Amino acid sequence: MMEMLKIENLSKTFGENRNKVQALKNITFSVNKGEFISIIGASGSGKSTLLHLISGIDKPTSGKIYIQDEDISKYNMNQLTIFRRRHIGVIYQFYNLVPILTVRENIELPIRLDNRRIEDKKLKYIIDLLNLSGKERYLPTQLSGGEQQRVAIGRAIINNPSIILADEPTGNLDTKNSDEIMEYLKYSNKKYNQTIIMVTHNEKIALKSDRIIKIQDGSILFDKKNS
Amino acid sequence: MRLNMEISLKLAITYLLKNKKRSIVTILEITIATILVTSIFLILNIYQNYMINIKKSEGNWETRFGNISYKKLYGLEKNSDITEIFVTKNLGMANLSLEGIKQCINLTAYDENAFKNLGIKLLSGRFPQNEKEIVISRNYGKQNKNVTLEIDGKKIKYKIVGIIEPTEDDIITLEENQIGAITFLNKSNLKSNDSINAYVSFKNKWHINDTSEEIANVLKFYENEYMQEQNLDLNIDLIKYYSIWDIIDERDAQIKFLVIFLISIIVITSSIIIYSIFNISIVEREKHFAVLSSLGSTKKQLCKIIVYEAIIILMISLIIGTVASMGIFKYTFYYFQTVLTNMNEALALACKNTIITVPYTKILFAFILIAITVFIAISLPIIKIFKLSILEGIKGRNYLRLKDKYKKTNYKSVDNLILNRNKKINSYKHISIVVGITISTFLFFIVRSYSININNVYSKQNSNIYNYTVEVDKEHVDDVKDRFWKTGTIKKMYSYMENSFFIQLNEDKINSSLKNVIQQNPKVKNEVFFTNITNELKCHVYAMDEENYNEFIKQIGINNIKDNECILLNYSDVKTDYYNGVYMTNYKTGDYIELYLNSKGDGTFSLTSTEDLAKFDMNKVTPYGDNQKKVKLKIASVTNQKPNSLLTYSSEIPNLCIIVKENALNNIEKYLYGISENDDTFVEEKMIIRVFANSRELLDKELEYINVDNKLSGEYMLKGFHEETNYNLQRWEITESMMCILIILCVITNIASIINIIVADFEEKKQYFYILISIGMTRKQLLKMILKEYSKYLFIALMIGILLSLGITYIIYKYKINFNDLYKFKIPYIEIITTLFIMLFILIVIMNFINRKIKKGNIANYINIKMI
Repeated sequence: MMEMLKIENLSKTFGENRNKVQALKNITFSVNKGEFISIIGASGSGKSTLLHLISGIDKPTSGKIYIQDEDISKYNMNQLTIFRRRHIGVIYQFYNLVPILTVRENIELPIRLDNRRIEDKKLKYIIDLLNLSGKERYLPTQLSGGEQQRVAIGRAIINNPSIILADEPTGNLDTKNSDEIMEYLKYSNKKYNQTIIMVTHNEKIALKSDRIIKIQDGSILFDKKNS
Repeated sequence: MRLNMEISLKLAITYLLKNKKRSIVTILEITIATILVTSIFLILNIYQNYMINIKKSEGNWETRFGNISYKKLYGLEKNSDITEIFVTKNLGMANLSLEGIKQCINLTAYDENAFKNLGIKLLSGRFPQNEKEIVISRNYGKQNKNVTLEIDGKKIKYKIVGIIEPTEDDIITLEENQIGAITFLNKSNLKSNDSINAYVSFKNKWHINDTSEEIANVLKFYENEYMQEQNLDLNIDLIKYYSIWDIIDERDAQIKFLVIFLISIIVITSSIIIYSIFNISIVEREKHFAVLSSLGSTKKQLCKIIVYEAIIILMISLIIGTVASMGIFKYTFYYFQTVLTNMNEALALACKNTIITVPYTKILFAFILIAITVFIAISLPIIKIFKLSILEGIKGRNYLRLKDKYKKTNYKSVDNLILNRNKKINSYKHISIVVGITISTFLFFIVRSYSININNVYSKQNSNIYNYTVEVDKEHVDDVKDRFWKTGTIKKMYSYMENSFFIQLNEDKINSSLKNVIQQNPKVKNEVFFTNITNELKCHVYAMDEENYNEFIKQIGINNIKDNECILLNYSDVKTDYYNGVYMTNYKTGDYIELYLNSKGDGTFSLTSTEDLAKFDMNKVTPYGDNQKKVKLKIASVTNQKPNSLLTYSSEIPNLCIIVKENALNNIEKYLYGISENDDTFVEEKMIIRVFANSRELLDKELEYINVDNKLSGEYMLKGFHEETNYNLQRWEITESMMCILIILCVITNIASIINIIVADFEEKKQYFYILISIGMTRKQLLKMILKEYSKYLFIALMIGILLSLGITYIIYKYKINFNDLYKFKIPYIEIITTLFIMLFILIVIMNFINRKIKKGNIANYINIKMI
């Protein structure tokens, strides 16, 4: 199987001297193409930090991150941003939609940022898929939490990224909405063979993925496949 | 209830402390507004005191009861409303004979107080101390000599103890061969029926006119109303300054206009900025207010929080503002005092006597004005709280509503999409920034543009605060000129000869505009025409020196004029009264005008000597009226422009003026006076020298040398200052400086507030900026987008500010300045370019700040916060 993501001895330290906190300690693992993995752990264990490093919105203190054999840890912030918009889709716990843009505009944002034209057919397909038809011209404030997260998923998949990173995508939702979101993620994973790395503290949700990595105090406690 | 109030107050204080930066900017804004408004009132107060002192130095009295009998003075002395009385007596015309000099003297007697209070300027010597001493307004080099004056056939010996400048009355009323003299008035020698002039000052400065009339009526000073009208005078120049709002003088009215204009601008600017700051603070706290509301807080209690915040800020600002304005003003006042001291002795004295008083009522008025401004500014944000929906508030982003028509998506790029959406959603912020910058640029440009153009007028008019006119015998002109140049006293000098004759204006030659003025105000006719019967008009003939003459004919576009030709100045530039812009005659180029010597209307014609008639070349003489001769001059050009030598010199306007060649005036005089052309014994040739000095001190020194020490041979007559010009320019200079200080303060506040609004705007948007980065917007793209937004604000504001200010200045300029051809409106290009650079600099500072903030901020910290 093709290796999509490889992490080698990844460490991240925040603060200095007495305030120094080591969020990640020499983490090493790899993820294959089309794999859906969950990273679980208690609050403050370092799982979100790991996701931020993979997405390139933060830089590691040491270690390497390879995405499709490309070492992104040597990229500067600008290169990381461009890499992210072309190859990675990100979903956040608090949706992080741009409040002044409509549903449609939020979904097509990564493509427009790359100065590419959006295919109407594709956009319509995603809107229908995410059950957002008729709400294209709504502002995020006019949507429920579940709907907002669906818009965030739409924004993450519009670009056909190789990897989708989801940081507690169901953390702010009720069971019904959580299940729906998980269904969409799984659908995307299967249909487009996308690699999904999901951070969650909910073990039940994690069980829906192919593989679970548990992080504790910045180190991998276990890395196991789901039966 | 008490508990509720305390909670609201506590919340208000907590918020102010939590948002220290914003609280400080708000306090700064209101403080500067307070400084500006109180400073304006202080300036007004000081100007008022200053002008009162100036006017008092010219005549410290309020009412003159002229020609009352001495016995009635007792009634005035007993009046408790009157604080001071001084007395003068007209002694009449006297003939002076002094070692061959024959002169007509108008003699007046002053009591001790009159010398102190009537603004008599002593050039040398001292004032008379008894009835046998006099001071005169012409220097014969005979100070401390005895002279005999013949009054009503009685010969009285006087000792000349001093030389004075001619009084204003002397300049107006006395003929050229008459001078003024003053002796001491001993009231104990007056008889009860002697006619005197009583000058009085009142305790209460209000209703002086009514009080004076009442006194005149009760004490029966005058037999009838006409007599009263002729003899009762008010010192309007002084009285009007007791209440600044009563000033009707055009130049002072400009100050009144300026005060109202500046206060309006300050109030409007402050309201907008305070509104923006409070609005942002309320939008930020919508959720907080909604939560409080859901917990049981009433809308009234929520509003109280904002009102308390406003009151706390207002109190701090008013205290700091008042103390600061007093301090700043005290400092700047001493600066202006120094400036004025260097300008003019009289002004320096007036300034020295001006006391900085605290105008409590005006400061209270300023407080009320600022408080009203603040409460008006917060009223709209308060209404917003009343309209707040608890549910939407708790959900957050209550204000994010957008009509479908604004949800256009066909923008070329993401930054355009976001910019336009932002503009629609945050229109209030957009407007605040644009209005703030517009006001700053508007204020700056209106001052600069007005200043540049007014300075243009002054420089064109060669106006100078140190100008002086000296009349010199023609034979000594070169001596005087040399003396002035050699001592480096002057920067410009014009010399010319002048004389006045009469012309008769036929009905068809009277311009319709003059006719209209006469119809509207019949009194004008008597002032323009010497007599009603013949439409006689005084015609001033000027013969300028060669340099001035050449400059002038070049200016009006003609090559030369012959000896029997003239240039007609067909224009009145007296703008302060009904002569405004009147074209007096219908004369055209090629027409003839005929000058004659004596008024036909008074019926008394006499030549210097009847024998002189025999000297006339009879072939040139045209018989006219009472044996008078007239000179026929062809009009070579008609112009509404004045030669530089006559600019600012308007005392003879609106009488008709003509310009002739230097020798032509000589010929006209000889011809009309009946002196043979070859006769050189005619010595009445005086030349006027107008000098524009480099410094008042040098000029005074030189004039003293010429007039008092009499070190140059000959006899010189001082014609006095052109005070109107002096004050005009001084007023403008002081006003401009004051305005600049105020405008700079205003602009600084605006810039601080704009930066505050922009920073608040950035802080508010920061989270979604980071979201944009997290989903793939590069920092370069983000900065480009922000730069685009703020450059757009700046550009729009700059354009509106410039166009609006230039438009308004142009209208004012056109309205005020009638010399359309001569004074072209100037556009302040340098200021426009400078402002563009300043704006660019501000933009760079803002972008640098934003760039550093974005660079410094950790995206991860922002994307884990619930935004909506």
